[in-house]
Amino acid sequence: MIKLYNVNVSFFGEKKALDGVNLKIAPGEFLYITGESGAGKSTLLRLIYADLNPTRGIVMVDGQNVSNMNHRTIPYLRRSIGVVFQDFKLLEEKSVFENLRMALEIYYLKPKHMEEKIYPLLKKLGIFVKRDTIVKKLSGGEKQRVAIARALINEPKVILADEPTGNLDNDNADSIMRLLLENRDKGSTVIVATHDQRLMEHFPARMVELKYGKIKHDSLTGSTQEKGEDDED
Amino acid sequence: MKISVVLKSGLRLFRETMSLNLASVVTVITVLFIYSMFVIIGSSSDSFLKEITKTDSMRVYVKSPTKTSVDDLIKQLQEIEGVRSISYYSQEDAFNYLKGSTANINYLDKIPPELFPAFIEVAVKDDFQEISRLREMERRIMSLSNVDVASYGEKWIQNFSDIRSAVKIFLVVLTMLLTISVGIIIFNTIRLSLFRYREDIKIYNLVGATRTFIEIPYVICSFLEITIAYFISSAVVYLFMLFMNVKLLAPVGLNFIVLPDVFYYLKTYIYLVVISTIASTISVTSFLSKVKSINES
Repeated sequence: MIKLYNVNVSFFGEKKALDGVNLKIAPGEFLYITGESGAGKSTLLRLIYADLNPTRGIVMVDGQNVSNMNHRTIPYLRRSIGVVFQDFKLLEEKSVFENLRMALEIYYLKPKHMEEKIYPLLKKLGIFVKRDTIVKKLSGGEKQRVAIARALINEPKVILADEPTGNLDNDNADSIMRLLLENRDKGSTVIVATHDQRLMEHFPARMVELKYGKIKHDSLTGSTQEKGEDDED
Repeated sequence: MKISVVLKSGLRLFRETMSLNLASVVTVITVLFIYSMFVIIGSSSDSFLKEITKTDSMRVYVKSPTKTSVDDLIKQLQEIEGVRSISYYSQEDAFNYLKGSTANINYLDKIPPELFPAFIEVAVKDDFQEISRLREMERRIMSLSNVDVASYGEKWIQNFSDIRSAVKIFLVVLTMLLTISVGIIIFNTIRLSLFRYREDIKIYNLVGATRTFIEIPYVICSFLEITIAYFISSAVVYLFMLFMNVKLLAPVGLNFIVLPDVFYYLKTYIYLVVISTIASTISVTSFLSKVKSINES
């Protein structure tokens, strides 16, 4: 489903954000990407939804090489990927409903059909009563749930979550994790970037640890990336 | 369904950015008003000059107006390409011709007809009334024997033709300036609107919106802007010209202003729609190619 071959990313030719990363993620897999701040977790996620091109190497998503994808093709890739950001990336001046509607407008759905998709999801996430509330009036936890709802609304094949529980208490964090696992069970591939140890212990899954842009440890393979592994293909 | 959704999104965008659009509409109205005024005055002057420089005949003065020599000359003239008909005016006819065209001037009666030159009026076919063809015809006539002078008022025609050419060049330059100014106004209005919605655009990009999905509402918005501006400016120009004709020019005997026909209005409207579509498309595509990722500030 998702494959990274010897991927390097460096910004402005300086320090490498990712350094010779090789990774294979199977369809329907649940995976944690962990590591300290600046380890390259977010960079890895950005590569997958074609927000960033690798300086070197290949990134394959669902059989497509997204490393240097044409800008006309990127939207169709992104329709199969739901992204949750730590800082939500919501429109603060718009209502919860309007924020979710944006993800459906691109399919030219009728308003009635949009409601049929949005309302059940809001109910599931416990924020249905807030559907007409302006986002800036919501708490951090509520905003996080809106961001998750937006990522899930189109039932994506891949869900990328960057610290999705960072603003939530344990109960809310657990409910979000259960929702992500539920989507995994429906066939979605879920990748969660986090350094929340409690979460990883409570919901055990494959864990890939990054350090200084390299894979320090992969719990599936047990491998550790050694220096010099980033040789030419 | 898709078309109606896209149209609605364009209308919604136009409504939401009304303050920006109004400023743009007023500016375009002003530009179009000035342009239309010049075009109407320019084209009216052009058709007026065209009318007065219209040459449908040439006058040929003969050296020796004897019957045989004139008959010979008429036969030779009839063979020249572009000649429609020929009329001979004897000295007597020439005198009467002058008297007929200058009424109430009694002293002409005291002038002997012998002082007036006999001439042949050569009517020219429509296709031969251009200055270059008239010149050619004049050259051929002058080469005939018994022709003293062939005249069609070239100097005046040349002067008026120069003025008409200048007017046409002026209108072309004005049209280019209109294109540039309307294009820039639409481009900037759309660009300001895009900046206002840059965060929305980043989110649309994130959730998989195509460029067309983002572009079309802005193109519709520019279409509405230009349509409103065009119809208002046309109405204002029409009323203003009507007022000028009826209240200012007609009382002093000037009625050379000719309002353009429907075809002109339709042509101008289509031209403006094309300009605004191109300008808005360039504005959106150049913005989208520069817009940063949702992860960057």
